[in-house]
Amino acid sequence: MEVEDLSINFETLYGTLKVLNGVNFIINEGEIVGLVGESGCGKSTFALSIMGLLPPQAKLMGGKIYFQNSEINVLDEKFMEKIRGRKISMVFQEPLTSLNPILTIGEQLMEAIKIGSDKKDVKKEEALKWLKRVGIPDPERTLKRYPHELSGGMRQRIMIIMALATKPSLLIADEPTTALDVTTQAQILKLMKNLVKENKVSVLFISHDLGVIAQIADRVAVMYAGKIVEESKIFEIFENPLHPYTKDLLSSIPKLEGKSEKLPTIKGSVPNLLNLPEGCIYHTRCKYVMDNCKVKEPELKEYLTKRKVACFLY
Amino acid sequence: MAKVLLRVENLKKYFPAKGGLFYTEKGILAKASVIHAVDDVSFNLFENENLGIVGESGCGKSTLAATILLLYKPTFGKIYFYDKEITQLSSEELRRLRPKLQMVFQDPYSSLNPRMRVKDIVAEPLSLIEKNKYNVTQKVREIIVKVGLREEHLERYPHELSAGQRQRVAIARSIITNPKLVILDEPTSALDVSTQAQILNLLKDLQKEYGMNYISISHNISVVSYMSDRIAVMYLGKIVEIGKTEDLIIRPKHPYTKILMGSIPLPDPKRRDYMMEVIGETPSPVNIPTGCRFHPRCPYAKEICKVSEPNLREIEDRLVACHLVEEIEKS
Ligand SMILES: Nc1ncnc2c1ncn2[C@@H]1O[C@H](COP(=O)(O)OP(=O)(O)OP(=O)(O)O)[C@@H](O)[C@H]1O
Ligand SMILES: Nc1ncnc2c1ncn2[C@@H]1O[C@H](COP(=O)(O)OP(=O)(O)OP(=O)(O)O)[C@@H](O)[C@H]1O
Ligand code: SF4
Ligand SMILES: [Mg+2]
Ligand SMILES: [Mg+2]
Repeated sequence: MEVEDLSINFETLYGTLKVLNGVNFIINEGEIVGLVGESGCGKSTFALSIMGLLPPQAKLMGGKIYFQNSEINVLDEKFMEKIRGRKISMVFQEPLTSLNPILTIGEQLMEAIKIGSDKKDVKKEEALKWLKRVGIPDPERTLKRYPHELSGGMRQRIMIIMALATKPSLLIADEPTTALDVTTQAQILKLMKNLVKENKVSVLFISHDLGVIAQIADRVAVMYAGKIVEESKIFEIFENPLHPYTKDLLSSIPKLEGKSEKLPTIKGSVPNLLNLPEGCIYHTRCKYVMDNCKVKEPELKEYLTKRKVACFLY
Repeated sequence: MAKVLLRVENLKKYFPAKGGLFYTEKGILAKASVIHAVDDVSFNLFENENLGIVGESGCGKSTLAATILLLYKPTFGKIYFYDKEITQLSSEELRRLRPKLQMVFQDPYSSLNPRMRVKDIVAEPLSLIEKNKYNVTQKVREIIVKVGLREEHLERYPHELSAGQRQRVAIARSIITNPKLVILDEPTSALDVSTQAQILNLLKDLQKEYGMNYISISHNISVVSYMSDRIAVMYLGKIVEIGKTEDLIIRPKHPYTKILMGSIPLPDPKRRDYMMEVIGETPSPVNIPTGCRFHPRCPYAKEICKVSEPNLREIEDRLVACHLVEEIEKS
């Protein structure tokens, strides 16, 4: 998957929101790419745009998306329907909104599972197998239950099954483990890693949990106000973050031990998408801001060996 | 001695289980009975104290929260708020108490009315007690900025926000009445670390200013650690360990707590695959294992664990429900 200069606006009653502002992004085969960034910076919108699931107020302002080396038109609903849930599948951020409240878990799983056979009992076996793999107790009984009768983490695992069971080439996982305790989470991360290895699946893994990102991603992209501001291999980004936002983000990770009075935060607030600042989008909060940053916009460019950063310091 | 704000006594919440027959451990075919979502939970929360609740997905944390606030009718047990039993209140008395007890739900999207604008969602609990419209509007404006959003967001509908923005709307709504007790169920799961820090700092400030108390439920141990003076660890509907935050995190005593603390993902890509794993499947809350509920998965289990259920007992600085703590500590 390759995304070139993707820009998306949301036309609303109160003005035009510039949600994505020229996103460049590559995911290679069999690679897990982590996507991190401030709440509201456009991560889910980016994910939904690749799925062709943008809300009606979204306007594509420019950019190209290539999937398996051919350009795709995400606005072509007929075409997207063919690859969605087959070649590309997604774990949505809020499970309760994407599960149907009036169908049982069994009905929804059988619908999603795509295996050679259409026989009901074959599909049911497959569904039971998956429920076990993600550690849901009582698989038989779970099939008969409705979404609201499950705990938050169980619903999230149902979403994960629906996305994985279609055997996609590209999996988009938007905060897939937020409702899981750390031991169940470890089990799910391992399952995902194995699937990536076995089936050469590529994964876009969106998460606020930098611990999880450190454990699973091969590469990380950092988004700020609808732009990728840095992109590096996992080791490099944790060891030596380049972009000032990445630095600030990593130093806000709360420590487990030793209680502090106040947790560290990044000063200032996220820019208003109705009215983005001129120059570098981070300049209003950046500790290293120079005159240049206030007037010119830095581009995402290569730095050292295969790292990319959008900042005039480099 | 600080006053007890909330006392929970032998609280149980069972749901009817659906469908089918199952085999008991002895191989007898039995009829499905109930889901033991919360199964005999007792604790005290003191004034100016915060409690954290952690535990496996599906162990009953959200059910416990909803039952404490009487959004579910308890199957058994009593709840006291400042020595007043609230499980006995009439619906009118309960309605008057509501503004003092608030909750942030785990799934913010489904708890926010999709047809209301953010400003009305946030204002709603306050307008029940504050009749002056101007005051309400002012307070709404103030609080929306405090949770890191802008006035511009007030005009929007929930679906026009990102997940983390919605979560902050839910938080703003829950604190606008300066309640005495707020139960936060995964309050910051959709927030980046910096925004999360901003919210947690805000909650702590409000505690100092208005004497609010929090019960925080989270899978993120560092969130619970920052927000709580004591932590309760739940397993399959029961509290298995409860103690002071630092001690419990650094020196967990119950075998389940040990595994839980051992599988926290560290933000260091060089340290992978160290994570501890729980062996075996999560048992069904319908068909609870005999003896200690953790015994089928416990690496230390002995014969006694299979037959007799351990109660919470005082061990040094905390309460633990395990027969073999002393033995495990020595080894
Ligand atoms: N339907 C919509 N109409 C108008 N604005 C929207 C809509 N959906 C999202 N937005 C806005 O677009 C921006 C990007 O939202 P998005 O959901 O992509 O953020 P995100 O990075 O996924 O955030 P989070 O980490 O909180 O999930 C946000 O500022 C949000 O308010
Ligand atoms: N309304 C309901 N009807 C039937 N069963 C329910 C209902 N709500 C919860 N349960 C069941 O009760 C048990 C506890 O669920 P609960 O939501 O309290 O777990 P939790 O600890 O909050 O989990 P998570 O961390 O995944 O959110 C689960 O087995 C769940 O399926
Ligand atoms: S009582 Fe036995 S089975 Fe239960 S936690 Fe302790 S050692 Fe393990
Ligand atoms: Mg999102
Ligand atoms: Mg829950």
